[in-house]
Amino acid sequence: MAGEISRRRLIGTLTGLGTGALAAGLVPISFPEAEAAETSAKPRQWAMVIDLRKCDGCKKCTEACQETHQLPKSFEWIKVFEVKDRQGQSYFMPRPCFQCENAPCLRVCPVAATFRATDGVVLVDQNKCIGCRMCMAACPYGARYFNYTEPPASSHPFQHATPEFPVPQQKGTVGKCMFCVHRTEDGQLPACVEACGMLALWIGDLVEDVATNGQETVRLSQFLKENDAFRYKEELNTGPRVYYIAGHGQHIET
Amino acid sequence: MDRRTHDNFVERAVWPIGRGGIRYWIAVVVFAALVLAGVYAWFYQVQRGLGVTGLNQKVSWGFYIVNCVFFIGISYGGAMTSAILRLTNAKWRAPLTRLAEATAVVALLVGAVYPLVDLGRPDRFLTIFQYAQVGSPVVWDIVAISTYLVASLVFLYLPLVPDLAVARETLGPRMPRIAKPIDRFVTLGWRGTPEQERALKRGVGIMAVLIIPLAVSVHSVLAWLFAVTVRGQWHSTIFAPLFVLGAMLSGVAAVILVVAGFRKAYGLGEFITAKHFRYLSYLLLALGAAYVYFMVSEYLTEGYVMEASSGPVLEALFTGVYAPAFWSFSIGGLLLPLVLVALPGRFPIGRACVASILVIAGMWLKRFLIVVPGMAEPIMPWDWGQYQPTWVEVTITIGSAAAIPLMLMIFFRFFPIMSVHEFEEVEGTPEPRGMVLLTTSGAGDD
Amino acid sequence: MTRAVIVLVAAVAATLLYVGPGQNLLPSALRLQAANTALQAPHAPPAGTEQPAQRAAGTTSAPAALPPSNTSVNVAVQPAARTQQGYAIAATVRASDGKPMGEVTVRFYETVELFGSREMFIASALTDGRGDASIIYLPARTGEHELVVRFAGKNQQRPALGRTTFEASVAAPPYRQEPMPLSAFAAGVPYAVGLIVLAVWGLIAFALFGTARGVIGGARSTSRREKPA
Repeated sequence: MAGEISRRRLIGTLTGLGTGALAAGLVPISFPEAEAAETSAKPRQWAMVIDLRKCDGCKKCTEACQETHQLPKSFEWIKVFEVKDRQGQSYFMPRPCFQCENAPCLRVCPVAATFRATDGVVLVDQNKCIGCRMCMAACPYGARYFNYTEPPASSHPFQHATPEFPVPQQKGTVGKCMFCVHRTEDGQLPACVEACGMLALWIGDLVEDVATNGQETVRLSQFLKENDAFRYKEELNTGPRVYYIAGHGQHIET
Repeated sequence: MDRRTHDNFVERAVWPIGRGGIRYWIAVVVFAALVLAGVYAWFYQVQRGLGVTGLNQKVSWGFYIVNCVFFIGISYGGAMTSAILRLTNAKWRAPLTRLAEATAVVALLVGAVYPLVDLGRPDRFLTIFQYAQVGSPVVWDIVAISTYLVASLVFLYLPLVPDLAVARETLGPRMPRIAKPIDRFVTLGWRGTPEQERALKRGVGIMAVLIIPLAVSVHSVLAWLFAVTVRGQWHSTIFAPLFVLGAMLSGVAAVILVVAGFRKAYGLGEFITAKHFRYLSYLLLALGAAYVYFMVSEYLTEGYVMEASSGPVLEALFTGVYAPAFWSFSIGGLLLPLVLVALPGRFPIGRACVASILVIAGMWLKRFLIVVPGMAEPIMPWDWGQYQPTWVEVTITIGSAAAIPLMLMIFFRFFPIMSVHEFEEVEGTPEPRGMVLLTTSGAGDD
Repeated sequence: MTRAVIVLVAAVAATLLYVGPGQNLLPSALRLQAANTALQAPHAPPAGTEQPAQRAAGTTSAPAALPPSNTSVNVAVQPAARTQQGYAIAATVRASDGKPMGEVTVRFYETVELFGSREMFIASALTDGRGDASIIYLPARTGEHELVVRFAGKNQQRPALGRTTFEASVAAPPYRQEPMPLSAFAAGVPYAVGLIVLAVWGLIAFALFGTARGVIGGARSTSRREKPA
């Protein structure tokens, strides 16, 4: 009968579709490595230099970052520390995520939600993160922030969060500074670098060996060498990509 | 072994099966209520996120991780009593092994739930198996705990095979109806033939040997969760042995308490005597002394140098914010119980129990003192972190603790509380019923 | 008569265009000595300041043009004497009267694309008696590079700049991430451990199912429950 044949075919088609959907559902959808390859056309390796002689602790960098990523006030992806040295002088030290080459947070993540993009920036895929917070225990710089509660709603309702632009954040996952790769891939300075009124923050590329604070542009390796730049807690061998320039006569405690 | 002793043993071992008086049910209801409160608190947390706990950006691990380590530590009592005592052929272990092994399984089940409770996205828990990163201590943790859990279940089950056959024989119609079909499947047609005995002995022997390195691996992996970070107090090579030893200590203490409790409640006094508690106390003493040694080694090494990474925590422990907890643990939870059991004298059972309660409370405190100061310690030029647990964490803790006696009481309603087979193995099989021995020599009798 | 006037005017115009001040009206392809350009530029702020690149996100930040200046800065790149050292970049500053300017500072920049077009400062040098200053420059990558040399102006001489491009076939060693020691070994350890874990699971399975099989099989034996010897 024609009706029977079509019924059989219908059942067969539905079964096939269902099996296909099931199989497709088992395949992990996100391929962060492939996405990351598109972050920059040039083969960049991002680094930052922070001139501690110039930072005045105004925290405009923190505010700009919070505004750009719609973060609550407690989330300081770039955090400005006031450090008192032994002479009793205080200086200010901004600390973004150091995007370590040998990142402890990356090593310990059980699901590879934390991964390294091709431009050296360490990103977090909040669709994968299970919220175990092992990375927070492992980070020696306290640079990761956990969404214990529902983050503030995004001002753009149809925004789709990606590891490069994790806005809005997801409850129960971890977030951190990502050197504003969503801006740098568009040729824009990171939010903190642009907001710094003292021009103390520099963004640079280790491949092309150049860095700029928005106004001046320098040869990165030369700049670091001339100013005796150091990295924070370098002895931990994490390989940070953020360099600090200590003030002359200032005492830097690590 | 004479028949009467054997039969008495069997009777006491199967006595709780299918039997529950008013006190039993009151206890079950109370524990169940606590467990349900814990479950409710967990649902409350899953709905609203981990923000309902006292965790924050500095102290991101708290009660849940402490409890995970603590309860898994309690499960080591099984490995110690059943496995190690079996391998060292300590005859006095026989009445204790079932209680110890069951406690181990139950405590392990409770402890293994905690990583799930601690997750920010528990709905994504299964993705660990999908994306497992072999370099991550969390993955090592999952592998080790699941392997150890399966091994413990097998180690609990195998000696149950002959015991259930005995229970069926002895209880007859009193056997709980639910248990009958399970029991037929579980006992695998045990009849005590030599082939069966050989198979069982081989199986139990393998598991006894296997469960010790497995137990060591689980707590070592838990220790490495902390030790592979660069936080000053945690990044210590002694962490793995320290955790394993601490687990054994708390495990033995838990076994003492469980054995004492069920002995009282189910009238096992004929077979579980003061001698058992004395020996268990010696175990407690030896492990406790070793633990003191490990702690001295750790603090001497750190304290002599007082480098910036570990000095501040040491200071906080000895004289600072955490000093009350630290000294309560060191003196009240470690030294005092050891003195209590070391001194000869009366009330061995009472002293062993008091010492065990102190040790268990102390070991929970010690786990707390490892996790929280390690997280609170400033790793950047900022203040110390604060941690104030909320009702959610406390309720879940109490609920999970109540789950252990609850599960044990339910378990022993269906399974013999003492291992008859082990008793026979140690004391020799009983004389056959109704047979009169005509030979005069005693030793070497079949 | 008219024809002669036209020819004369054309000749004067051509002279002015090609050798005189009208040169910048021509497209660059037609100018004399295109490789060593001395650019004319509108009036600039007082001497001593470089024109910094505009700090604006996304906009092309070309350096502000300089005032019409008769100072000229010629830049030339010589192939490296020793390739490890880099390329010798020479710049000559001449005053409006063509005399070389000694004892003046010139600053060497490279044009880079980093959040817009910017000038990366390389080095500064002092000219000698002949108005020559030179630096050795080893670029970060091979390929085409555009250099700009700026003179900030001195006394009556106005600021000026010179440009050149060159093709670099040698460059500084590229940035390399240091691999962690023992990383090759460490990568293999989890898999070795995984094998051990599999072996353990196999043992557990054997203990469980082997015993079960033994017990079930032994049940069929006819011998009754005997005491072992």
